[in-house]
Amino acid sequence: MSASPGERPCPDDEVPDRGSVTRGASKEALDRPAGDFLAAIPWDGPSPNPDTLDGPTFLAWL
Amino acid sequence: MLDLAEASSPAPFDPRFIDDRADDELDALPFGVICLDDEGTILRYNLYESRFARLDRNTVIGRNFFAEVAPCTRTEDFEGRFRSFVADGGHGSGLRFDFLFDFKFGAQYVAIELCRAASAPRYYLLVNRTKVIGPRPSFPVELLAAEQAVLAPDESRHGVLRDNLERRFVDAPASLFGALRAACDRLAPESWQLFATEWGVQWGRRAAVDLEASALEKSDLSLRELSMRELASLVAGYLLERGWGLPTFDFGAMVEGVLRVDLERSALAEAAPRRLRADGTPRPELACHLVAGCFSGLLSSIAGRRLAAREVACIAGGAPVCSFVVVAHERRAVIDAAIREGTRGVEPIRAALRRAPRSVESLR
Repeated sequence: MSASPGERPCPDDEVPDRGSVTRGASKEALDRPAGDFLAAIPWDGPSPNPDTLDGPTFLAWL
Repeated sequence: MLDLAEASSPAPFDPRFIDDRADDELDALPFGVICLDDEGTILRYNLYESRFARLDRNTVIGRNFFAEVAPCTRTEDFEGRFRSFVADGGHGSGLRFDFLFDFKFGAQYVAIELCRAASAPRYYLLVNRTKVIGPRPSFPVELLAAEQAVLAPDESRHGVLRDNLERRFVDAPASLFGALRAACDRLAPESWQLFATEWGVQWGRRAAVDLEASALEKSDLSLRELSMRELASLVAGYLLERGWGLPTFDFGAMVEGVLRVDLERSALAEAAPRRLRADGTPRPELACHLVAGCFSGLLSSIAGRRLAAREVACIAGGAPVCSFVVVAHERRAVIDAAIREGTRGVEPIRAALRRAPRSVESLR
């Protein structure tokens, strides 16, 4: 973006057609509030499989 | 190797101790902070306030808040409360009241919290914007809040460039990053990634403040209240429109607690040196630690929990796009270890995460 001294278009006011910037989630999921969407991601990883846990982890998981 | 990065995490906010906060911590807060002395002279002014008032802190610090910067506050409801609070010593739990700031570019409904620093006669205005509306034609022009161009005229003659929100910017060529990388390789070849990642985290926190303001101005919503699609578009636009490349958010692995972000045409990657192995194939360089840090800081601010982003494939290393993996902060060590061992690419990193035992701590 070129700039003239003291003046430049505000990037936040520009709405270029950039197409979709998401993939891998349903339309319904993407319509959810971002806070809810992000809170639903199991960031710590999927729930452990109790058949394969070691002892201390299994006890903690219980 | 990256464990020291992202070590600085904002402490939970407590207004009683705000005077102890460094400026960079105030700049990561999602509300305005103005510190005044007992006469109303501005001593500190954070990024969020600067963004909404469209005033550079370097211009307003040292000026009187009521007389020079915000004449709309010269009322009993605002300045009168401040003077009484100061006259009473400013002790106690502080004051809370609602107000309407009037600027030339619009009016802003705010909730004000006024408190005194514990150990000095400094007073803090904490300014929560609740709604932004257009200019009020009936409001007296002489009482409108000051404008940057009026307080600091002819800045362009002094080499100061500003965008339409009066934020100062530097029009820098991408080769600046090539020069920075060359300096890093020469002076700190083993540790520059730490610096770049932490710089990115700090940038990401400030970007979150900027985007929070944009969301409120456009829709009266916080970032977390936007739809996930709108949020992704806003974040992508933030990078795209500033020339960093085109990000795409991939939620396909989110059931594993993994968010993937691809960045096409990364400015950092394209500015980085291309190094080849003896057989002529690219060395698996990772050049975009700054952007990874930005994703860490930005997404952590929005998600309300500590997340860590790592670049796992880079254009500088021969990949078609730069790819980043975002996980809980506690899982970053798995990625760092895999990267140190030479693992590259999203799928191998996901496999490493799947193999890693889930820590007892994360289950508590």
